Amino acid sequence: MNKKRILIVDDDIPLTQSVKINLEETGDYNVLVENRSANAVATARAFRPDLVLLDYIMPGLDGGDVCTRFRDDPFLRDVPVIMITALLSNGEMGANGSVFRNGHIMVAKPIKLQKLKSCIEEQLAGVAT
Amino acid sequence: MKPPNDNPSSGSFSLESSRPKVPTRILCVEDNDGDFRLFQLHLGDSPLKPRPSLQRARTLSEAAELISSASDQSGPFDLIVLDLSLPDSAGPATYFRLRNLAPETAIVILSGTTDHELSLEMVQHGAQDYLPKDTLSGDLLGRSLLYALERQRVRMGMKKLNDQLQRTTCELQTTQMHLIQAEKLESLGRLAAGVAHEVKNPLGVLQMGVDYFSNKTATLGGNAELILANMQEAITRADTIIHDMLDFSRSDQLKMNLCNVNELMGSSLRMVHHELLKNKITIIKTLATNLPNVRVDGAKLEQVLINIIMNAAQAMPSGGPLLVSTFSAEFSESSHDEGSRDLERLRSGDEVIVLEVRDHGSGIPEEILPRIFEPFFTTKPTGEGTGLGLAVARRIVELHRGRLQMTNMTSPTGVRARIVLQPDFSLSPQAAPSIPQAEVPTVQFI
Repeated sequence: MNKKRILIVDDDIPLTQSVKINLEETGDYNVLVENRSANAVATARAFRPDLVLLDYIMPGLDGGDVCTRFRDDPFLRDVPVIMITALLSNGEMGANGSVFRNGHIMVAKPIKLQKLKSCIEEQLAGVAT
Repeated sequence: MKPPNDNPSSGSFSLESSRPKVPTRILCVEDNDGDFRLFQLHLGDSPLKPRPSLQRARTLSEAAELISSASDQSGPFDLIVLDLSLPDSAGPATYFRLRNLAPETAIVILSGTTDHELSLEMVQHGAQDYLPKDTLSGDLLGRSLLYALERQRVRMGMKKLNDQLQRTTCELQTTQMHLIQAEKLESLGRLAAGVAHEVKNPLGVLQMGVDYFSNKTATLGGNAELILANMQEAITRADTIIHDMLDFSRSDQLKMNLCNVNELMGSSLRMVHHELLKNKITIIKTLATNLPNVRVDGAKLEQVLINIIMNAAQAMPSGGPLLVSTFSAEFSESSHDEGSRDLERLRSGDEVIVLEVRDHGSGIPEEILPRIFEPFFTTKPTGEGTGLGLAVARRIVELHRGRLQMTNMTSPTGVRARIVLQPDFSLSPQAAPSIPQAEVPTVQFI
């Protein structure tokens, strides 16, 4: 089975490192990290991710800006994006661990690996169908 | 009873004109006929114009009756001239009793040859002057009475100003407290978003660490599982605190919908059902039927209800009955917010919908009652309460233009928590008050 390619765009280096390690340890994903939001589109174009995990609050371009650029890009517009944000709380998440707000699928920090994985799978399944 | 006589034209004096425009009303309390006649003569000789009107009492009780009827009919006397030795009262007590009977009237002591010192003492206690009977003259009497009236007028003016000052100081202190509180909440709101971002990322790292090692407990051995469980609990606790703080910064984003209060109460109780069962709490429900709906953010209101229900449950560690009720009432407020510019605030007489939760615990200690809504104030041990629950709850209710009130109750003891909301008749199935007006209870807010 081909591993799914996940791109994480988040300026927090320790967080992205640990998410990458955990996701890759599941054996299901190939993960690339981009800590500078300004490089997100270029990195994504080169990496061709199946899904992007995108932080919302970042210096320079924020998650919303990056997402808009993805949607304007013919190669990236259909790539599912999950926003990971500190502005929401886990108490506000739905049963599946995410919530749809302002046009984005959002998950709250800190997120448990299990929930993150099921959100990713849900989004990937949505693309597949 | 008539108000104090502070009209300058009715026997008292203004600073501009020290002469009365209407006759000064004097009560002479003197049992000795000779002394009274002498006083009458001197008063006639005095330069007081127009001639004062004079009434006489022979005893203190007679004086009391005259003071009382004068107050009811034409307002208090302007001046009382008092002999300290009366058949029914003697010495300083005579003055003090009369002072209590006519606190706003100037009192001048008529002093005999033997009680000059005593008279002087009475002046130190508030009498305006003392007049020795043996050396009394019309001139002396006239001047003394004029000064007495003037001093009393100034004294009463000062008392009025002082009372006003005390009231204003009190109001100022209350306003200042509210401002500090509001500022605290505002700062907390601003802080929350920043803190959320700064703390949640490290928490995310910790979470990922816990998740990483959770798959390897077999190889880690020892107490790894316990340590990881504790770490997970700590992360969840920290996340909960931030969640509560975020409620401050974002609680203006309410998703308002028409809701039925009984359904809100029911769903909140369902959510804590297990906890209540575990704590041997029995729910006694009295939910009024056909209540108008309320326009609220249902999820937020449930959060408030759950908070007060859990507080109530915690107040009864050995279990017991928890009374929950909903009803319609007439809102009444003992003090309203003078500075309020909110057209939609609750006003006395408004029909309101009340959600009430009442426990049978020992109540909230009086000394901490004023602080229960303060952010971060908690009586629970560290780690068991963030001190934000009630602060957030009140803020949520206030954002709905409602009230959250916690009151200690007696017989039986306990705490009564009330959420008071405005009904929304616009789209309610029942567009009219559901309870006949005569039966509508009044909710008094203190």
